[in-house]
Formats: sequence, C-alpha cells, structure tokens
Amino acid sequence: MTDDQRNAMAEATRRRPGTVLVVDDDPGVVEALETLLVDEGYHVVTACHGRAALSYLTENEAPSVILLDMMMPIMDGYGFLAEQRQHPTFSRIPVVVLTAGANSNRVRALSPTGFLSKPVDVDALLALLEEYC
Amino acid sequence: MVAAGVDSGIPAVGTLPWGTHFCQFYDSQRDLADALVPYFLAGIRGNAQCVWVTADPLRAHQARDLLRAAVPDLGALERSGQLEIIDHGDWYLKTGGLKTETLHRMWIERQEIALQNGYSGLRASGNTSFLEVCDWKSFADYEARLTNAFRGNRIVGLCAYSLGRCNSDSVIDVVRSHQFALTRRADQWELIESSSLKIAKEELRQLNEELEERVRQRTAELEEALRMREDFISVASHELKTPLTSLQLYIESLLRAGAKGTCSAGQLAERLTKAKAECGRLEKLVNYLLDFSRALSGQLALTPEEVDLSDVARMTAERFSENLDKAGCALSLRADAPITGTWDRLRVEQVLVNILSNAIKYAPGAPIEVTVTEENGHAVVSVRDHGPGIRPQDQGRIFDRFVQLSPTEHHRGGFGLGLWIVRKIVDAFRGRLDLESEPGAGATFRVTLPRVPVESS
Repeated sequence: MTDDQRNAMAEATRRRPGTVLVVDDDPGVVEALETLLVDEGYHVVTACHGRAALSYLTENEAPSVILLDMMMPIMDGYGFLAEQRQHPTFSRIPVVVLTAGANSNRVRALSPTGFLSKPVDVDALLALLEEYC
Repeated sequence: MVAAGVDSGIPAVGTLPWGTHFCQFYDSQRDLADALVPYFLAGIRGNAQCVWVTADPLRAHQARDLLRAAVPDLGALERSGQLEIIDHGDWYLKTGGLKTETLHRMWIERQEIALQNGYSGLRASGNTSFLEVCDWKSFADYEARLTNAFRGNRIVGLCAYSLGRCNSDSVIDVVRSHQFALTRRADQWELIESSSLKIAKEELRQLNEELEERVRQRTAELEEALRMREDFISVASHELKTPLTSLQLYIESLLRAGAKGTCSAGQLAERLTKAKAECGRLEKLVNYLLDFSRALSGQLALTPEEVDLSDVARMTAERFSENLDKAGCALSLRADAPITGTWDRLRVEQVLVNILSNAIKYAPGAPIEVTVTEENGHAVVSVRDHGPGIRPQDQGRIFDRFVQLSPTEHHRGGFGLGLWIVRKIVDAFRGRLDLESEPGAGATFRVTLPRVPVESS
C-alpha cells in the first residue's frame, strides 16, 4: 500500500462526529449499511425493531440521526415514530425513513426528516447524513 | 331490455317501467281528469311524445283546457309534435284503415319515430267509451296484444274504461289484458293486480333480493381477493427489494472504497462473498415465486422415488440447525424407525422446511418437537411448537395463500405462501394436513402421507 493510499484510508476512516442508529429487521441490510457508513467514517449502532430502538435511546446518548425501516416485527416504523414523537428528547433526533414498502404516501404523511426508498440512492443518503451529523 | 323507470305522474302508481300497459276504470269526468292530466304532464316533463285519444265525458277541447293550466304554451307543444290530443272520432278516421289485429304495430312504429325524433319514448292513452258490445271480444284481444307488444319498448299506455259500461265479465277481461288496473273507491285511488301478476311480482322481488345478495357476496369475495393480491404484491416487492438493497449497498461501498483506494484484498473478498449471498437470497425468492405460480396452475412437478421420511426429517433438522439456533429454538426429533414411501424427496423436505420456518418465525425461543411415525399404514410427520398458538378463527385460513396473520403491523418477512405451498404439496401426494392449536398453547402441524406411489400429473 502506498503512502497516498494510507493517507486516503486514514482520511476516510477518520471519525465523523455522527453516530447513526440503524433500525431494520433484516440482518443483511443492517450489515451492508453498516459497512458503507463505517467506510464513510460514521459510528453505527443498530436495533432490529422499533422497541429495541426505543430501549437503545433510553439507555444511550442520542445518535445524530436515525435510519428507520418501516416493516418490522414487534414494533414497526409507524409504532416507533408515534412513540418517538411523543418523547421530550427523542423527538429532536432527525429520522430518515428507508423503506422497501409500496405505501410511500402513508410514510410521507408522517413527514419524516428524510424519506428514501430501498434500494437506496446512496448519494442522497450520504448527503442527508452529512447534513444531520 | 328496457329497465329504466319513468314517472307515471299518478301518485298511486308511482314510477313505471317502460313497456307498461295499464288501465283505469272511471265513473266521472273528474276521475279521468285526475289521472290523465298528471299522467300527460309527467310525460311532457320526461320528454316523451304524448298521444291522448279522448272521448266523452272528457273531450279534446276540455283536455286542452285542463293541460293549459299547467302548460301555458300548449299550442307550441302541439305544433312541435310532442303532444297530440285527438278525439276518438278523428282518431278513427286517421287509423280507420287499420284492423285491431294490426293496430298494435302502429304503436310500435310511432314509438320508433318518436325515438328517431329525439323523444324519450311514447306515452299514450285511449278511451274505450265508443266501443260497442259486439266489438268487445276483439278489443280485449287487441289489448292483450298491446301488453305483449309494449314489452321491451319505450311505450307507456293507459286505457280508460267507463265502469258504467262494463259488466262483470268485461271487467275481468279488462284486468286480465292489462298489467294492472287503476280505480277510485271512496275518493282513494287503488291498484288492482291480477293474482298471477302479484305472484310473479313477488317471485321477481325474491329473485331480485337473492341476486342482490349474491352480487354483494361475490363483490365482497372479489374485493377480499383484490385486497389480498395487493397485500401480496406489496409484501413481494418488499421481500425482493430487501436483498437487492443489501446487494446494492455492498456494490456501492466497493465502488467508493475502490475509488478511494482504501479496500484491502481481504475486505474485497468479504464484501463480495456477502454480495454473493444476497444474490443467492434473491434467487431463492424468485424460485419461490415461480413455485407459487406453478402450484397455482396445478403444475407442481413431482419426481416420485423411494424416500425414508425419518431420514428426510433428520437431514432437514440438520440443515436447519443454524436457523433454529439463531431463533433460540431447540429441536427434538423422534424418528426411530425408517418409514418409507414413494414421494418426491425435495417436496417432502420443502413441507418440513416451511412448517419449521413458520414455527421459528412465530414461536422463537421455544422448543420444537418433530415426530415421524406410522399410523394405519400411513406415514405421519408432526411438528409441534410452543408459540402463541393460532386462534380458532385463523386456523382455517392460515393455509390460504398470501395470509400472514396481521401482516402489516408485525411483518415477519416472507411472502405468506409457506403454508399454502405445504398444503398444495400435501394435496399433490393425496395426503392430509391437520392443525391442532389453542391460543397460548402452541400449535401442532400433522402431515399424513399415503405410502403408495402417486402418479405425477
């Protein structure tokens, strides 16, 4: 590896201030998102459904942004958004919805901070994260 | 079929279907005026061409005076041809060449001309006071012919009969040859219907009700099927997009890392391996959809061979151990003796995999027992889970396609086809699929397979 490459790698993996909470029930998607976002220098934490995400938020420092799937067991994205918005501090965290579902109107009606359909437009996703982290 | 109704103008009669031929028995000029004036006013309002053949005691000039009270510019209506008021004597001169045997055709022709001229149909009335007793029989036949001729045409006809000139026989003839009769008793209009008409109407009403009920049912079924199909498409697109998303994210991450030159050989291999696994997932889903479409058209391919069900259960449990571990389900298998039969090995495996997948999806963290036995010469494999169980009202439908109990709130992945395919495969083997479950007490799926060969369809 050349020095240039090493520098570039160091540049890329330099910690950004942002922590991203990925809430998705699909381990494949979570892992792939984590790979991409860690490459981009973000700190990534994960939860496999809305209930787990709420527990995470209760027990930890607030992440800079939440990436939220909608169709999940136990507590889906709609349930999570309903509770998160009621909460005095959680409600301040920006939420970007990433969904493979067809019902985009129902999601948009909730006016999340951001809304991206799966498969994800990565440039748009990274631009949103840049803005909120 | 001319179905739309028209306003008769007479409150006691109400709306009539086109093609109605009815009669009125009158005592006085007032009886005639009270029925015929509103009858023709409604006809004019409904843009029908109106022909009023008058006779004593209500002659043409009197009819004009009565109508003029409601329609000031009656002359214009008559000149335009929409309204014709004519005394029966003049009418007789006009149509005198026509025998009663052919007279009904004249009405049909007039209706056709009225329709050609843009009218909604033809509304007519005649008074029979000119009839002589000797004409009676042929006139009653003419009336019966009219009833038949009007049917299916845009004509409404009202024939006025003087009660004073009718004997009991002729009253019966008149009522018989019309669909119903209108008469005034104690100042109240009444409708007289022949009993056969009443029965026919009642039958029609019942048939209509039955038909409407059937339409409602069928519509509800279709709506349900449509809703399920929409749910399925939404679930299927979600299921297909999920691995596609992972695949695309790995490719993006590789492209970005490649551009920056930050990807080590190890990382590259690792990510490509994961991307390949996602391709495998996609392929499985697509095959699953293909299977579904084949099963739907009854073309589930079977390759029968000698199979040991106990062995299939052991192998499936082994292959499934990683999924079971992940879900925290301990599987205990009782398959002591070999139980052989002629089945398609892969399909039997698929039955077990689908039932097990269902168990770990709905009863994670609880033990699962699989038992293979022989009962009455049949091979039986049962899968018992200790999950939440299935409510009695859901037990019948969980083998239907696209059914996922509460699919949107608690989506658990999958197409909602697993148990449906199980049922299709078991059906193809001429086997039986039983479910025993109580809410809170887990569920047992029992598959009973005959051991004799099944011809592949």
